[in-house]
Parts: sequence; C-alpha cells; structure tokens
Amino acid sequence: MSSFIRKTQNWVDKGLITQQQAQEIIAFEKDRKPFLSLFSIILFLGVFSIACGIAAIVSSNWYSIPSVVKLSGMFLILIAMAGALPMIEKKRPVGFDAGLFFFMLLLFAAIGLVGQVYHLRSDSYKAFLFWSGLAFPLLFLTKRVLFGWIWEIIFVGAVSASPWGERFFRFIFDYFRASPLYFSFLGVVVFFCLFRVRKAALFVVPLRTISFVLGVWFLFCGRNFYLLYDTMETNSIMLLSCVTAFGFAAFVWKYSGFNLQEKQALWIIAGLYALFFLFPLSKDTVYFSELLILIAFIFVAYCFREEKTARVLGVITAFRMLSAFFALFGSLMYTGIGMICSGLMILGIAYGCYKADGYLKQKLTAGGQAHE
Amino acid sequence: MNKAKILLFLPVFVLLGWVISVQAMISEGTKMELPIRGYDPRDILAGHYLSVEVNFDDYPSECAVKEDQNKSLRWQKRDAFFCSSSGRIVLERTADCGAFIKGYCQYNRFHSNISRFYVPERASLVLERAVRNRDNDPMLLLSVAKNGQAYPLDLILQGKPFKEWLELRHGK
Repeated sequence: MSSFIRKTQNWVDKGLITQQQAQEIIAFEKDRKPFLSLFSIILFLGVFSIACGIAAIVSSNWYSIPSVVKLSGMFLILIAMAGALPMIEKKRPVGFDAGLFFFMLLLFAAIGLVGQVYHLRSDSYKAFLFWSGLAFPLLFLTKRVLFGWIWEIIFVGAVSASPWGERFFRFIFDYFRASPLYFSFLGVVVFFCLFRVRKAALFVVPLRTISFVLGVWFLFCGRNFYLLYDTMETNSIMLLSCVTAFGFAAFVWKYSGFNLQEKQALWIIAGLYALFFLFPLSKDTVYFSELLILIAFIFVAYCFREEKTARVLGVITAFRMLSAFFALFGSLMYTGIGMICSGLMILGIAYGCYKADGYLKQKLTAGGQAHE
Repeated sequence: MNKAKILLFLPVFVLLGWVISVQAMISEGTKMELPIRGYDPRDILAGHYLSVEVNFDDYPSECAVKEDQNKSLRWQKRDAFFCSSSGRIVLERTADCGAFIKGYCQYNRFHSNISRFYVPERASLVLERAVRNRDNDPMLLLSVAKNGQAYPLDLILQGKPFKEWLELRHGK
C-alpha cells in the first residue's frame, strides 16, 4: 500500500491527477479486497496442511480403531463442516473459502477411508471421477477461480485416464494424427469464443487458459513431440479444418463483444490457419508457418490491449527464433566468431522486439482512440 | 434450508448412500473362503494393502480355449462365473450355480475383481511374506453379494484370522 501511495503522490507532483483524486484512489484501493492476501495464502496453506495430515492418518491405517468408529468420525466431521460453513459464508468469506477447500479435501479422504475399510478395488481414475462428481455442486458456492482450476485439472485428468478417454484419444490420434495445426486452431477458437464471457468465471477462466496453452503447445510440439507435419492427409480433414475456420470467422463477424479492430485481427488469424490448412507444409517450411502464426498472435494480443500476453508471446517467438538459429548454426558456438555472431543475433532480436513493442502500442492506441 | 447447506450436504448424503449400499451387500452376501497368492504395492489414497489374487487354478474351468475354437478367444475378455455350489468356473451361469463370483476369462484363466486387502502398515511386510509362503495356507474370507461382487472380509493364515495369527506369532 505504501508504494501505491508513493505512486499516486508522484502522479500528483507531475500534475496528472489532483490531490483530491489521489485520496479517492487510495481510499478505493484500501477497501478493495485483494485476490491473494498474505492472510488468505497462510490460511489456505494451514488448511491444506491439516487436510494432508488427515489423509496421511487415513492412509497409515488406523489399526487399533474399529472401522465403525473411523467411518462415524469421518461422517461427523463432514456433517459438522456442512452445517458450520453456511454460518460464516457471508461474515467471513475468506474463512468460508478456506473451509470449503478443506471440505473438498476431506471428501478425498472419505473416499480413501471407505475404500480402505471395505477393501474396495478401484482404478484411480474412478476415485478421482467420483470426487469430481461430489465436489461439483460445491463449486457454485465460491467465486475463486482456484477451485475451478483444481476441479477441471482433476476431472480432465480422470476422464483422460479412463477407458473412454483412451478410446477418444485413440480416435483423435488415428483420425487427426496429421493435424497438430488443426488442434492448435481449435485451442485458439475456444480461447477467443470464451474471451469475453464473464459468467461462470470459475469454469470459464481455467478452460480459456488451458485452451490457449494447448493452442500454442500444438503449434510447436505437434512437430517435435508427435513427429507430425502439417500435412492434411485426407480431404475430409482439410474440409473440416476449412469449415472450422469459416465458422470461426462467421462467429467473429456476428459477435458484438469484439470491436472492428479486434475482429480484423481475428480474421487474419483464421485466414493464416486456413492458408496453411489448404497448402500442405513440408518438414522444412513448417517452421515459417509457426513463426508467422506466432507473430500474428502478438499482433492480436496488442489489438485486444493484452500487453502482458503480447510480451509473453514475444518472448516465446524470440526463443523459437533462437532455437532455430542454434539448430542451424549451433556448431558455430565452438568458435569465437560464432559466439560473437550469435550474440549480435540475440541483440538484434531484442532490439527488434523493443521497436515492434513500441510501434504496435502506439499504432493500436491511436487506432483504438479513433474507433472510440 | 439455504443453497449453501443443500450443496454442502449433497456430497455427504451421496457418500453415506454409497457406504450403506456397500455395507448392505456385504451383510447380505454369502461367506466364502478361497485360497490366494500375493504381491505388494501401495495405494496413494488408502494406504498399505496386499495385492492378492485368488487362486482359481485348482478349480475346473471352461476358460481354456479348445483346439477347434478361434484362437483369438484367448486374449479376449469373456464374462465368466465361479459357482460355489459346484466349485467350477463356467461361461454360462445356470440356476444351480448358487452363490457365484463374477469375473472374466482371459489367456485361459479366470480373473475376479478381488485384488486387494488392506492391512496395518506395521504388519504389511510380515503379511506379504506370509501370503507368499504356501505353508501358511493363505486364504481370503469373502462376502459374495447376489450380483457376484465379492468383498474381502478377512485374511486367513494357517486357519486363523490374520490378527490372531500375528498375535500368536509375535506372542503379544
């Protein structure tokens, strides 16, 4: 808070705001509850530690305690928490969230305890799926996105590990196996479809982030991890890809949540993907498609005024260029001249990024003001 | 009752329902003792357990694929049943089967869903060795529900429940 006060004082000294405005801003920020405060972090850590302790006690097998007592004790704790948490929901929201987190971990411990008492054999994915089902209603009691993250990761992991998940991935891999570009595009499409969705942030925010990460992941790693190239092996996949690109472009056109500049940026992205769907890339040229799409992402990020995202993408692009450079000229690093050239290359990229960053910010700010 | 109470009690009631249904199946099930053989892993959720396999090899079985049958049946999973009344493993369950354990045939052998028995952490090593030793005549006491699901109740060593066997062995 004190650094914030210093900042506002600095703004007052420079004549950007008045003293009155500075005081109003400080009063507003003081009343605002931060997403993560030191207190809430410590509270969550303490709750997590207690829950881990209970799970450890369950797993160490309470030899001397009869099963009836173990089960009754567990259900008494669950019932007590279910009764007590609603009382603090409005008065102590941070405490309620910590208690809810503990309750969700207790459900895990309860599943383990029942399995232990009755010697139940079950695959791990079934236990996690069962937990996902039990914990799902609880997600409607909180607005913290952390809960959504935890639940989605566990649910998606459990479904992926299940026989249905295996069959689904096998089908996807067999049918789409030549199209990491298509998966990358799907990730991007889902990301932008959810970009302006404000409702159900608990579910939407993790899903959106995961989609974006997968979009970028498949762009790079489809080739490196799956040894695939962006060749469309069948006409049906090519057709599906183009239909998806067209559908996305139509959605962008109709959706009122994007302004004209943002729509144009998204059409450029869709157009680039469609171009690479239609013109098969070879092993040697796929690198250029990656780079072009990444640069387009940076441009889109600036259009959406997501400067942090743009900078992250810029760093990824720079590293991608460097890795290609070292893949081609890595042997030069053994020589002094080679290292100097590599250093100059790195400085050149850094300078290029700096200039591009400034240019895009300026251009898009001016463009945004013109549209406003 | 407000929304928070309903949503918080819902998973508790589901868990309670699950426990009651499992307990009911075990209580109404038929008791059976079967020989086992074992090896030992660990479950991240529920602690130490012996991974055991009921030894069905000594019982007559229809799992073996005959010479005139399709060889691919060997690795396909086919539903099968262990009938307690006749002590046979059959592919088609008849009315005179009595209490049965539902499983499947694969690779000419019968496999059931009985695979683990939770034991105290301190005794796990001793019990693991004991189950591997044929001289201890390791058996598993099961409660078999009407749907063929078998629930382990106790581990029997040298004719005694394992807790008693441990006490006698260690002179407690």
